Amino acid sequence: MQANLRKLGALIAKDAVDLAKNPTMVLCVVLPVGFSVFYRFFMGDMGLGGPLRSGVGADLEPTVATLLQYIVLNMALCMCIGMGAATSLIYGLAEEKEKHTLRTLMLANVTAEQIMLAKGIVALGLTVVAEVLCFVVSGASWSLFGWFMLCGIVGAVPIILLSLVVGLASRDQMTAGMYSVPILVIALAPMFGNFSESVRNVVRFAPTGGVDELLRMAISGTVAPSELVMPLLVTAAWIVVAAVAFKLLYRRLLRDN
Amino acid sequence: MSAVALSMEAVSLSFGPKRVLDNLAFSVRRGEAFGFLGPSGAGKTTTIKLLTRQLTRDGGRINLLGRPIENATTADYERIGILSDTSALYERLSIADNLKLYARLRGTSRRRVPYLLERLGLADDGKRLIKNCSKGMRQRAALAAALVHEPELLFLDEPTSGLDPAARAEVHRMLAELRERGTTVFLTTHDMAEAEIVCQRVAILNDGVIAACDTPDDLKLRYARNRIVVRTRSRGTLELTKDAAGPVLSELAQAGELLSVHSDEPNLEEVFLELTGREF
Repeated sequence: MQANLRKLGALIAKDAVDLAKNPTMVLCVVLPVGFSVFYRFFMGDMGLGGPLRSGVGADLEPTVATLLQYIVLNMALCMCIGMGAATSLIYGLAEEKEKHTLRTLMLANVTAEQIMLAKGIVALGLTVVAEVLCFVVSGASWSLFGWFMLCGIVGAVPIILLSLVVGLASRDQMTAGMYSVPILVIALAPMFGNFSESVRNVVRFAPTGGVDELLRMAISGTVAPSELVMPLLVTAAWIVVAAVAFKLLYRRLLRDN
Repeated sequence: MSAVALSMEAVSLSFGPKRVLDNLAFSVRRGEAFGFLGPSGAGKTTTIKLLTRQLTRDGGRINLLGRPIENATTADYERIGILSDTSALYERLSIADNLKLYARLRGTSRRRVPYLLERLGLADDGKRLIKNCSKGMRQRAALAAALVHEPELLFLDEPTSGLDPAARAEVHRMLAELRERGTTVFLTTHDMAEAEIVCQRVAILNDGVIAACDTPDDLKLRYARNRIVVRTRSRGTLELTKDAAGPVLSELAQAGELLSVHSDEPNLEEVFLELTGREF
């Protein structure tokens, strides 16, 4: 147990330092934060900012203000999960495979489980950092912070598991670029739900769709136990599906490489 | 404690229809440096992969540190160090940070890192990022990572490839010291001179079959040609068979003609070429 924790700690420290020194991964945090700033001020300049930008559009209807908060936070949530969790993991693992550092670690008596757990924890940490920064710059009400973080952390879990599988399936960073697209699309899917009701009715069943629904309810103040069932079920189902896929595939993918 | 560090008995492996290892059998004693030689594609790296559980054999038995490999525990693997043909370190971390990472993973003191850097000629480059290192520096750093926990059994797959002569000599000295301290070394190499310097015994692998296994000296004697070369004062250089040389040599000696007598033994490279059917 102690040896496991020691190895896990060493791997987490290594992954965190390696991530911080990787410009691509830094971009995974910068991009959602940048978009949050852009959305906030873009809508503010249109006179729609309302509570997002003090002094501008302060007389907005509460429903419009709520909608604007949702648009910014929905984008931030999806991008943090898509960029922070998915991209960092898929490219990170693909790079380890391409440069043979994954094999070298495993030959040093580090188990695949330890490597995957460390990578998952660091990806989750990166997502949380990105989410905190996005929330701070978004100008949203602090009363939503807890909900936003809860949705961001729970919603990242299935994407992290799926990204670990996709990362292991990628031979190198080139193939990772191709394989990461579907994961990125399903992570960002709730953003497209803003365009039409019918799209929203589909994307609510995406891995991040459940937590997005929860966020929408939290922002509009309509959280009720009966309304929580479906989003929680969707999220739980994706976590189970992703965990089963990970369990079934990761040993085989490791062996192939 | 078993006197044998590792052994293979009748081990075979196929990749599809191709038999890559056939009926392999050898053992390596504790504290011995054992060379596994063979041309490219002979199955050397595949053998190391079997011994380090990266591949699973089709048949036969493998024992590692006194127990069947399928029963080897995580604790057993903590006693093993591996430098594979693809061993690599993290490019965005420095040499020293990579070694500290492996020290922590292995549960050993970081205090060994400066010693290893010094021994492998990397003391002035400890802070250099791996991505800025030459191939030789990367190879030495990877070797240091394999040695960081002072393993009892060390697998080295072409450890000196890409190293300059001075660095190779230093690695050879280190391996000799490790062996003196009781470390078992399993080494694959193309370099016959290296095998002669480092290894007490060698096996020559050809097309997945062990063609010979013995000490370098005994192999050379076994494949020695039945010939001696005699330089004389006025009759030039004579080549004689060993069986018939006695009378001729005494005659030359009595006549004061004899300048030098050499037995014509092959070096390990020539034995290797003969056994593998290859040519210079």
